[in-house]
Amino acid sequence: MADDRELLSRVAAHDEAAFRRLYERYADRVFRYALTLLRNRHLAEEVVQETMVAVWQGAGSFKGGSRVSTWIFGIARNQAHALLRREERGAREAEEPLVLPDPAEGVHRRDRVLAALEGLPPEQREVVVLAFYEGLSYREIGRLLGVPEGTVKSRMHFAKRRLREALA
Amino acid sequence: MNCREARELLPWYAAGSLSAGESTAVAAHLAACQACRAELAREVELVREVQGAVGRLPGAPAGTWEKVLARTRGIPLGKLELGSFLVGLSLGLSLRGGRVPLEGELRLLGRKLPLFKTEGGA
Repeated sequence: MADDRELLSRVAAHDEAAFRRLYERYADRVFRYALTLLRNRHLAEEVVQETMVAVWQGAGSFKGGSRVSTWIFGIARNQAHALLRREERGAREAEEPLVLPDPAEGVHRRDRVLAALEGLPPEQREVVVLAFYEGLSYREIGRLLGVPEGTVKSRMHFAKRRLREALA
Repeated sequence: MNCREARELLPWYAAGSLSAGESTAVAAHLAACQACRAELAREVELVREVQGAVGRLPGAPAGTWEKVLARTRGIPLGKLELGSFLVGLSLGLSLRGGRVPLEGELRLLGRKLPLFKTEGGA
């Protein structure tokens, strides 16, 4: 199976099959990341679109100084923040809960975990999702967020404390 | 490495994203510290729960790929196929970002080779 770097170099040569494979590898992950940031499915889909169009157009500019995943999530983060700024200027789309209530299912543990994540301040939620779901190191998260590594560790410390309180 | 330093790194140790050197140092500390081993068990459980919960959020909606494709490749307007499956020529017109580029491809033994692409005007 082609690795991300190989796929990206083929995307830089406008290979559509490689682009499709990269999309399949990242679309859901970028959507979920954007959903945890924006809490709005329409905006999260917009982030996926903008991110993948930017990947198609900018694949040739990837210098290889980071993992492809960190590069793509950096683009997604920029797009999400651009959308947030746009929403703040105009009529803001309503935030939706990450957990959609399903009376037939009752309250499952995963819903409690999502609700606990939702209760975190956005900057802490983002660190938890990137570290635990995306497997990014604290250095990669620091670079992606543009904050010192100590800040990343501190956000994680306070996030864990809140999550444990909420899930106790 | 003391307990404070180890615990600062435990979330990333549990998630498997520490460097080899850091990972070895944390493992050495864990081998000698029962309290931090108990803390690691809690970290691993939290990582597992967050992965399970976020992983079950919905993925990108159906149709997103087509929207991306329309903005990169363009919306197909028409295609002319000449020749056979083994050797042939395809000419395609599409709408992309307000332009209508024309693309030509050569088909050779099942492979597609790009021949030319016009900008399609402003």
